[in-house]
Amino acid sequence: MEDRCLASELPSEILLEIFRHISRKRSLDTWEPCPPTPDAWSIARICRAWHGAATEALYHTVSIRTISSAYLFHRTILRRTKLCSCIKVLRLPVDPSVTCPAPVMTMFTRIVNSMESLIALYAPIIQVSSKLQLNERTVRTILPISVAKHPHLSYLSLTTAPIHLDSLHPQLSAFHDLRYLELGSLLLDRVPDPAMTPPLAKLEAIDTDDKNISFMDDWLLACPSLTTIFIVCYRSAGPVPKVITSGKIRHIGIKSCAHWSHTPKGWLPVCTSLRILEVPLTFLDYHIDYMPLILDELRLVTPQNACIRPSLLEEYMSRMPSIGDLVFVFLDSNRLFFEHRYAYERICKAHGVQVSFDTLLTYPSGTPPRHSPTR
Amino acid sequence: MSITIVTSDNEQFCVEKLVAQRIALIEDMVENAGDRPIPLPNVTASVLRKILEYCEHHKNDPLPPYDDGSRSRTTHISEWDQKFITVDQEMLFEIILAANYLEMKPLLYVRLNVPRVQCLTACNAVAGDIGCKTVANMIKGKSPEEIRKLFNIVNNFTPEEEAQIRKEAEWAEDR
Repeated sequence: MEDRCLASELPSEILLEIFRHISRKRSLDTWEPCPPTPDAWSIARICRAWHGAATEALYHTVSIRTISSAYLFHRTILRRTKLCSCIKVLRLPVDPSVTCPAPVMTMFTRIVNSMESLIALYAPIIQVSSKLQLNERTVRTILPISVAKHPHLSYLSLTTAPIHLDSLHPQLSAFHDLRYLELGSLLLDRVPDPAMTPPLAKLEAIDTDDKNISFMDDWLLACPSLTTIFIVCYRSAGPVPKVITSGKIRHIGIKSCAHWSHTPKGWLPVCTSLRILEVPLTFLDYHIDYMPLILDELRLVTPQNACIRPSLLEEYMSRMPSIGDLVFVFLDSNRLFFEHRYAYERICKAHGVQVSFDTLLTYPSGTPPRHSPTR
Repeated sequence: MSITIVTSDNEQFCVEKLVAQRIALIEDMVENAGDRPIPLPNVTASVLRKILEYCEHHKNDPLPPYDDGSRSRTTHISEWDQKFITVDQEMLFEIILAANYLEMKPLLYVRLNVPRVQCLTACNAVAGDIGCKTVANMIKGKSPEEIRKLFNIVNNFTPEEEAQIRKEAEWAEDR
């Protein structure tokens, strides 16, 4: 008797449910998309019965890493236009240290506008040629999204080499469902005009340069759902913005700093509504005195092969902070972190702080490097 | 109070109502059935026995958190669930299919956004889910050939179709 093959008889809704659990690449940044890992693409090549659901699952989140891949991807969607309706999250390759060349930007724009309805877009911004520059500092820019396209966008991340802007894009106000906005290295030089760019009703999180927060202060105050601010520090921090002390900000993340002296550390003690703080682990090394002592969650992120002395964590813990959850986020390739991991755990437990470790796989499709943690 | 469930192979199960109501489909049928037995023509006795074991163990679990599907998901399975789902492959797929028929999966309700989601328990939500997670874990890191061999699946693509699929996904090979 021939063996029955239940696996190829599963209805597509079950296959989709299975494929929702395929390996995904996570990032240190909690708002980043999580595309399938390269090995997950195997599911598309099993049999005809699996192919449809596999395609839907694999193409939900598309993260393109290089410009050559973007050209290949563009070729694919030109041949199979139906794929465009599967794609909900799109990340285009971005190098924030250089301006995206015009032909590449044209191709990116075609890709973005070929999609049926995105909910998340991570893309470079278009810089208009230098002849149209308004002045020496400020550059004219355009969003890579056609008017009225992607009206249900929830996440928008605009990246570029650092450029100065005179105002927020009026087109932003068309995205009524926008919950997360990343302005990357777009450096505002002026307070946004609410008449040109009305505040966004659903905006929960803004991710931008700390100086921009100051310029956008009144605009952010007028966004009723705003609770979260992620900061990258390109310029030295100014006075504490009103939004920080307004009582609406529950979550602050300090992502990176050009220089540690630029960190808007002074914002933390005055943000009395703060419940979740996300900082690089090394923040403790420089600004331990500014660390809040009451939090629901503290996320200490270790992006590279960096760590802090356990004695520093001991010093912070000796101040008896009340922390619901302390989460160390680190890459599994961070050998230095593994050396100290158990010391950190011991210190936290000794002070009654619940600790957990969020390990991000550097090598999701292969064998992770071996570590020899010492207890 | 208990209710009677009749499986496709005509076996009767007397189940505590509280436990049976963890299964969304039965919860719907109980109100209309009165004292009559509830037929489950798509579920065999051996599969229902397993599902009831799951419901009994998880009957007091809290609701799982809301998941809009946009984030990366964990494939972690608790120790008890892991033991529960350690079954042969045929039973694994039978459990998944039955959980689907019995509406023991969370997303159906989340997507439909019906208020009933409020009274569902974790066992409704997870019974189908741990089966899917288990299959997903079995697939992880394997080549198409290994997956086909594992599940006894016949490759019914033509060589041209396979070449086409590879070509379409070339962009994703850039690691």
